[in-house]
Amino acid sequence: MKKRVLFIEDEAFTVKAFVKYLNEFEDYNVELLEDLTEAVRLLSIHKYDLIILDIMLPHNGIIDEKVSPKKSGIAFARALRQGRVAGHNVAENADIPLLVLTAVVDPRSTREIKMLKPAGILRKPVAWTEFFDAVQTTTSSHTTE
Amino acid sequence: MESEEISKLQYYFALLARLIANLYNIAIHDNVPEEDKIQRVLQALSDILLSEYTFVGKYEEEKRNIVIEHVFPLDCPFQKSFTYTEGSIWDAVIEDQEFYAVGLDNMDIDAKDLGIQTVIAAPFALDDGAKRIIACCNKKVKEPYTYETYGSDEGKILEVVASLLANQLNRDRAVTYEFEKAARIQRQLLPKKAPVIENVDLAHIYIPANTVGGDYYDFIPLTGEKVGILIGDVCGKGLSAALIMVIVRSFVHFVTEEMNIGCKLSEIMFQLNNLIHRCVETGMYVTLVYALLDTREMLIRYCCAGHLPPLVYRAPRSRFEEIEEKSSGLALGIEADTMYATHDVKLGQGDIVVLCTDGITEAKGGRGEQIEEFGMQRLQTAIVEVARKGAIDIINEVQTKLSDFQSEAGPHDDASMIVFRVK
Repeated sequence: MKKRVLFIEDEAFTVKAFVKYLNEFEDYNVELLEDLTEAVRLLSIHKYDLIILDIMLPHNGIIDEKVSPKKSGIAFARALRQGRVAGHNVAENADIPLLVLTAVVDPRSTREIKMLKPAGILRKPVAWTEFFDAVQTTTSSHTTE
Repeated sequence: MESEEISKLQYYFALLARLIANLYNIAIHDNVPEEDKIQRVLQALSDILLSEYTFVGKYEEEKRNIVIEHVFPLDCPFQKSFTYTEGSIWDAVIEDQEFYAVGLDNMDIDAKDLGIQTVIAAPFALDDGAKRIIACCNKKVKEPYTYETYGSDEGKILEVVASLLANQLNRDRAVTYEFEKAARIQRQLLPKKAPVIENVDLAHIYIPANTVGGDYYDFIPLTGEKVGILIGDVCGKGLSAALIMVIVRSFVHFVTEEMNIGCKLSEIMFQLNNLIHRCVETGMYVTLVYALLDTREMLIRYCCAGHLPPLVYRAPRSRFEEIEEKSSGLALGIEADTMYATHDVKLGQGDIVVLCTDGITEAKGGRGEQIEEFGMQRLQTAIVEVARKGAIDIINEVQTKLSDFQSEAGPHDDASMIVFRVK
């Protein structure tokens, strides 16, 4: 069965080729979203094998409006780990393996990201081999079965 | 395409163009001193990442201190060292061994204290056990004072460039270490003390260049109040010349044994040439003067193979004898079965004989277009000035004159000299 991956990245054009390859030639079903609104809805109705998450994302107020878009991904993942995001029950995905794909490289934000216990942090721009290895390793070591 | 995508592409295009323009400067160049390699890379990084300052710093972890070892540009106003606090960018880089950047909206206090507006820093690992950092500061987008925060793409460039540079420096240091070790071993093969010879005052010197060399000299005691005195030079420089020098030394000791059972000097040279010819590659050769000092007759008998013949200073006339160019035969190793002529020089009281390698006469001095060689004239003049003194004084005088003459870069070739004076 194909691994189900939710990929949230607002600069979708930079990763479209990766997603296309994973969907067409590898055993993955990747849904690529550009903001968090649809992500929250999908996480409340489906169980995923992996989330690949950008940190700086438009959240359209779906998480606390005080949260800066520069750290929206962190606030989102923190809420996800607790099983509830913007009133949606996402408990089924609370322990989901998380790959962070980010351009955030300051020490303080990196410490906050690490507290989310991600399976990996990929710094942008990411090379295909590095990206694919991380996806493969994470999905093969965490199974939802 | 949306305008955001276009501006992102423009940004990457500009970054890529600067990277390409600087590829030559971040490429590996042999024969460039370590300091220059680092400066070149710091300059390239400054250009690629639009940085006002770039530096390499060394961590002193116990003191929580960073000592700035290299900086570009050289007139950068940073202090020579600074302390860092826990949680700062400097601490994060060393702890996580990853690059980090801080900028306008999240500047940490340590960097602010240095007068830095934005900074990106990556670990820089050399094999000497110390942890280092390479940093680019103040990304300056527009003149005069618009700074920008560095991004992760720039961090990746910094990380790769730092790792290329570190690999190269580590390799250079390993090679230098091996060469220095080889040079020490090679120096041990040269005589340490001058032999004590009746009625003759003898001194010698070896001036090493920065690495192993091809100079060789030796003193071999023989029966019948004779001493073999040799000086030679393997063509070329470096490891290959040093290896051949070691081979030549073994051959010399091997064939010289036969001198004690009545073999003539010309026959010894004949054998030596054939042995060397057999074992060295075409194009390699060894110049050598083999002199037999006979203290009973007070004469030297010598054979010369492509080397500067012995310089003979006559005390009664206070001058050197003319050098007979034809007294030298082919260098050893060029052609098999070469015959070498023997020359006898009778010595009187106060006469001086000088044997040297071209590291002395061809030492370079001066600057720019004025570069010239030390030459025979300067050598002889230096000796004449102290000709009444002891052999060691003559050596010291030549060494002083040579080192005054040479450019700041120091010797580029090793140099050897033997001086003996009849008491």
